[in-house]
Amino acid sequence: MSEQSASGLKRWIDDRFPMTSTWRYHMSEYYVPKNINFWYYFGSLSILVFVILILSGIWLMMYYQPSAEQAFSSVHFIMRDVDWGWLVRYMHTTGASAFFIVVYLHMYRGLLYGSYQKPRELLWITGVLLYLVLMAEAFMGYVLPWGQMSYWAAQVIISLAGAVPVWGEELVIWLQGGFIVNEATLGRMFAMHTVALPLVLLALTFVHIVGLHHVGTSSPDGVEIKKLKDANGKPLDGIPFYPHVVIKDTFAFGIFLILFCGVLFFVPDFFGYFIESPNLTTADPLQTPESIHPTWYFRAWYGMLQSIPSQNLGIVVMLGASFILLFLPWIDRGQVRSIRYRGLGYKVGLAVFTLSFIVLTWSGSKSPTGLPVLLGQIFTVVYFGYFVFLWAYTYFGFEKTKPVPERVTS
Amino acid sequence: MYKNKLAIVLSALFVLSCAGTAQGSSGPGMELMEPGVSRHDQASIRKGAEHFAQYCSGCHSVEYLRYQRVAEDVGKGMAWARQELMHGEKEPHAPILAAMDPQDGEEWFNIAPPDLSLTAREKSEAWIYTYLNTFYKDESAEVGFNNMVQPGTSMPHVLASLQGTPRAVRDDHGEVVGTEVPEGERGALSEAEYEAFTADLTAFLSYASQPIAAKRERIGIWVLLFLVVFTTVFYLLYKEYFRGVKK
Ligand code: HEC
Repeated sequence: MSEQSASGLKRWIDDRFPMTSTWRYHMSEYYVPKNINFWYYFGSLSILVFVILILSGIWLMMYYQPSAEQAFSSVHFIMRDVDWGWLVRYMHTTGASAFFIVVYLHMYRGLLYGSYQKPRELLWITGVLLYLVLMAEAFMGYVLPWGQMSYWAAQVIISLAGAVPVWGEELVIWLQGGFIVNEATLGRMFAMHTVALPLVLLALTFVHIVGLHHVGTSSPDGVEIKKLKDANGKPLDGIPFYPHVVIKDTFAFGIFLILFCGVLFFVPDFFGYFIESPNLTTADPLQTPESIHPTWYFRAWYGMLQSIPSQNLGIVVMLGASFILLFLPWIDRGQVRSIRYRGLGYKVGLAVFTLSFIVLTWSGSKSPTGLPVLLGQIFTVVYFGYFVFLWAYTYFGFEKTKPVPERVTS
Repeated sequence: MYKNKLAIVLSALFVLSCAGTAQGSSGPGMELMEPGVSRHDQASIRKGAEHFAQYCSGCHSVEYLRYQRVAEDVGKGMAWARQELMHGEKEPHAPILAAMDPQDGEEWFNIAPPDLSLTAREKSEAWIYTYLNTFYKDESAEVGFNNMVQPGTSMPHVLASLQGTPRAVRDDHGEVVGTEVPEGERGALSEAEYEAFTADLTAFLSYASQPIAAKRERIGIWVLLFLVVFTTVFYLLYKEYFRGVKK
């Protein structure tokens, strides 16, 4: 095709569809702070993992049978008899855990650099919503192999709805489609996991990115690059998303995929964290397993639930712990975004908050007695205490910040 | 300085995740014995398959494994499988099912002999190996033998003709701490031979629990090599593009 006809085609399309302007707005003329660091990889990595999960999920769906009789054996049929079925399934199981790893790190970047502060409140909120839907998605996917843990995890999680006053019991029966978790439950989990929730995730991701490109990527200094532009309107401290960031991210994809494939090909069970051995026995409604623990990425929340003696209170606390994140932009009244220039109190607070999440995760993987319960209780208080502290610290002006530079540092 | 902090956070996470691991594989409170098998040792898997067909498949199925698959994976043809594994006329791709009806098993042993397709992943190789090596004579048991990792087991010591008749070794409190075959009660195999025999069985059951594992690792090496090249290329590109950007 000659250059002229190529640009002719381009013009023809542009007259009918905003191709070039969209490309410019979102790619070649979307500017990102030139000093974005390690923590800024996890947004695009989340998209990479999402794509891996969608593609492998579609392939799994071609062979998986959502029936109580067939579900377990169809998974093992995929693992053994379908050509490359093992690869596709391990992409999906490793992908699920990888999703939470990159999403947790992505969220943590928000905490480090105040990416939730004005004007990025909606960006943060759509992100937290993505995380909440992702948890539902992961839980329902976990039920599908119909192993012992799948079955009993479903039983435990659905029974939480029983805490709803008055209608609790009926609600549980309605959700399960029966008095116990059964084939009807499996069917609805399948529909939600494969169609409904992925659509919601996709829509939210779209909104998240549109929102991001409207307000712009935050910088590790908390400085807005839009403030200083050259004569052409290009931010002085910005680099274009295409090609610069795309190439940088592709390099990061490479590093990520080396780790991902290292797990996938050599330790796909990841020592019982990514695939748990109790789930290798088929679901048995008559036999309760010795201990029921959720997958590693839910354990902080589960640690709260199991260390609070009153179950109803535990449920409220557990839900509150993730929903409180939605309000973070208004809890933190700080004048400065980045941890680099924030007061000592913020740094110590965030460190203690991080510790509380880790200790709760540990506590949620232990049986609910003694030390795990005690530490679970203490760090549940610490977890919520962080938000109270953060509000008081910033609202009453206790925070002594450092001066923020005019331009991004290198 | 920011890099250092990151390293601290990541290593803390790593240490914590390792600390959690130990708890996952809770056993029966005894040290398990390591069979020292490799999933890349085809000969051991082949011998294990032959032993299994001879001594175990009367009672146990490996329903997710097919005869043909075993033959291919150990580098043998169907002729070998017909002679060594298949009792009677069967399709090459038939699953390995027990000769015995599970219903009968339940009547005879109180419990149907479980399918062993996934046991090695569920309980670990070491568990199986220890199980096969810690039967001991127990007059009070219905099957005449007891077992250290599965006390009160319903499985008879089907390998007694090979191992002999092991007795319990007890400590001062009467707890069973080990097993030993008295001189003169040895079976057809020496102690070392019996250990090798049960290790081969373990290798086969481990293979059966994930037949793809050996191939998966071989493919994995090539995938990682490719990714290293891919990443290096993009690293160089990245350096090139960002030459003018920094500072
Ligand atoms: C006479 C029938 C019979 C034969 C032959 C037999 N087993 Fe068993 N096996 C059983 C029964 C019954 C159980 C269940 C024991 C229990 O749970 O108490 C069992 C349990 C097991 C278990 C534990 C499985 C689990 O998940 O708990 C393993 C491993 C095992 N057998 C391996 C073997 C091997 C290897 C052979 C061949 C050397 C073999 N068995 C031969 C009857 C048999």
